[in-house]
Amino acid sequence: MKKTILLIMLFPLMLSALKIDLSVNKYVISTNDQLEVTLKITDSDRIKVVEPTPPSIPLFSFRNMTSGSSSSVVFEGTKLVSEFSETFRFFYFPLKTGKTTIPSFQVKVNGRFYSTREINIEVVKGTSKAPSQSAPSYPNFGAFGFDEPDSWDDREQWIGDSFLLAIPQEQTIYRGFPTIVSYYLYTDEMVRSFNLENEIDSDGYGKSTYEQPSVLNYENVNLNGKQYKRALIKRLAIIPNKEGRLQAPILEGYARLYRFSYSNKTLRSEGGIINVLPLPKNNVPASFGGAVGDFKISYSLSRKELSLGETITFTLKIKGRGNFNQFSAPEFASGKGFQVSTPMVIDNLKAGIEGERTYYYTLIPQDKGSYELPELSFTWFDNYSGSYKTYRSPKEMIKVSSANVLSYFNRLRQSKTPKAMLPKVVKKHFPPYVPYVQQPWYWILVLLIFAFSLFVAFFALDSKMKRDNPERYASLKAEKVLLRYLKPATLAAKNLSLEFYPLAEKALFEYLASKYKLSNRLSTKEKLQALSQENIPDWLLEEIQLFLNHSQAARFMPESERAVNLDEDLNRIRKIFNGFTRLGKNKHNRSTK
Amino acid sequence: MKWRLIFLCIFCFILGEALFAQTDSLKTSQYINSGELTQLPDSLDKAIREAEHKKNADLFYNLGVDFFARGDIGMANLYFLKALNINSAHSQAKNNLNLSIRYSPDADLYPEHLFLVQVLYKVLDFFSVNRLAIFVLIFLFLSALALCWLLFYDPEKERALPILVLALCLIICIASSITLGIKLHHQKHNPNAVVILNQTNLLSPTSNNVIQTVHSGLIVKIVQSENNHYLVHLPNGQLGRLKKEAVKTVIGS
Repeated sequence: MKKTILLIMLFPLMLSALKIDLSVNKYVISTNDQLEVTLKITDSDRIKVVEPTPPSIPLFSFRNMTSGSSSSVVFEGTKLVSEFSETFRFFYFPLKTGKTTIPSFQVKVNGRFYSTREINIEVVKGTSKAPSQSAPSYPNFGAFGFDEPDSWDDREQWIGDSFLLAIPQEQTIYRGFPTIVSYYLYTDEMVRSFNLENEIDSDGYGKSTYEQPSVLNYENVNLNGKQYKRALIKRLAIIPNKEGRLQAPILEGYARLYRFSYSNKTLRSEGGIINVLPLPKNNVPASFGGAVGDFKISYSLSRKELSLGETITFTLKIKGRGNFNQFSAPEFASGKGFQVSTPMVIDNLKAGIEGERTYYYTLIPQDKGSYELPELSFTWFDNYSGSYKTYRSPKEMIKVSSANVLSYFNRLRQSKTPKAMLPKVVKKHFPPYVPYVQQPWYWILVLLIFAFSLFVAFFALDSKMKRDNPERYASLKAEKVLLRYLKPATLAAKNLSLEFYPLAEKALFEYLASKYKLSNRLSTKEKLQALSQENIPDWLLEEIQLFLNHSQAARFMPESERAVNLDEDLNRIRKIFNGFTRLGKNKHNRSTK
Repeated sequence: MKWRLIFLCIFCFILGEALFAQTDSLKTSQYINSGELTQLPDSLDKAIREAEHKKNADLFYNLGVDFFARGDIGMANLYFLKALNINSAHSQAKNNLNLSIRYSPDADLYPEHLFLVQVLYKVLDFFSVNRLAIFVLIFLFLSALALCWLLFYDPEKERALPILVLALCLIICIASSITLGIKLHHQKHNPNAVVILNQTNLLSPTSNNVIQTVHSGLIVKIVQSENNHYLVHLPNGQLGRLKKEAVKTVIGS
């Protein structure tokens, strides 16, 4: 019963996809070899691992450790399957022969501790021989293999030679096929370190770094009957773009040797000749787009039955080694019933030449019915067989039914998590971008709006005064009229023009008409009588009367007296207007009090 | 009354043209069928020059699609960001950038925002610089109309409604103007940059210790430019230094 409860409690843990694996490169190891302990943690979700402390192994001396992480996302049908992993590698040197155990140690993953298993290791005296390797493309060196290592402490080893060799993986390849050139340091001296200084390139290839170790990892080899230790310096991926004899990049650097004291030795790589063949010009398939490599192609289809509004994901995987950077996505043949999106490309490539490329195409049905999936073909030149190969997607029938509520919701869900790359925008004209705020029309409109607001405000204030205080409004209007007419009258007075009198008279009566609403039809006498009823002071009425008399007399005035009288009458009319203005203000003040 | 109507008609006519132009440039993009994936490098060079000269969001977006099809996620993200810098409402660029981020090795460095924060970002993105400019213009005009309404409102009636409408219009107009100013400043001094090397080391801000490895396509925010390095903020807030040759800035050509 207890066991059952325990199993039920542990069930969620069993469901978890977290895997922690500890492995070694060899269970029986020779004294001249090195032990590689690999700790790999994988999970379907992203993981956070605290870097573990290398375990202390009896009989071994810890040398160094490396770590790396990887992730992959794969569509399996409609399901998105992801895997994330962290790998730690610990390197050890055996010190003595005997049997030992790698103790269990703890790893902290996602905040929880996990223990590794114990592994038993046996260290034996170094007698094993490694398998022989292919010959390098270096004319003076024959095949070589691993042999009994000599001790570093041997004094005879201290006087010897060191050199760099470039060894291409393939000596003859077709144009466009990437090959890997390994640069090894061969030495029978005590080389403690190597500093890479320069890479001398020549024409006819593109390159990328395939591998560059950070430590000199020696192995024992036999070259031309002589024992050497060799260590990998660098591996370059070379993609030839010219036919003929190709020289791989030449590496330059210096080795730091120990001969009782340290000294430097400059080295320059030798070898690295590759013969590049042209691609055959006969029987080139029409769909060939420049892909050269050693590929394996596979495909998958997310579904074969769907409703309108839903989409199908067609996945094409190209796996192997090739010039991935020099070919584009294969195209679907034009077919009926589907709109095909620009594919999304996910690369999981090493140095851009080796690994896996996945194309995700999204197909959108345009009408209901049964349709044959359009054909997708991919043609490449196979380096090893020396021929063109074509992959054609198999014929698949797709059944498209009418849209339903579910497909509508599917579409909503899909819009939130985009699965396809949207294609390019096609327009006839792409105008240069200038923000609207930097264009004149924008500021003209802003000014128009402000002008409109000011005008409206002014007009509204005017109306408000007319409505709230009609007397004040009439007074202001009268003053405006006064100013309007008095201005030409003043000008006429200064010019000694007789026009002064009619203009001043007109101004006076316009003013009185607007202020006291006196009709212009009334005679001068009647107007004065009307004014006397408006509580106008007597002196003001007298001044008006006097001015009007002068105005009458001025018509018959001799020219010599005109200047004196005009000046006097101009002052008089101003006095009259000031009197009326003061009268208005006093009245206004009284009313406000 | 007649004059007011005529003035309103003229204003709407002028404003309408600008509004329709905005709608046109944002929504009438036609999609091509599949197959138009790659261009020759020469034509790509030409397209880059044209896009940098015209600063057109659609041209930047098209370059992003081209680079993505070539597997160059770093440059693709850079051009999607350039398109969004010009027009933050460019839905296709937003979609493709989100997709690219989702499948990138550094996807877990991007924080998941709260729902309301996401909505706020979406609203801010919807109001691109040009849309905001039109928005400001509309609310400025509405404020003028509200002022007119208030000034000519019947004095016998309660004036709360026209005052409220005027206040709202003015607040929206001022807020939009401030946002427009900030957006314009951000457009000219965008601190975002993209990692373009396949992978590179993020160094500690004070030493040469490696904090972590970052990959092509990661969007970072430049805090400060030093001799050979940029001091950057990763999307998760981590501060570190990246070599200048490893990143490309959004506002740089």
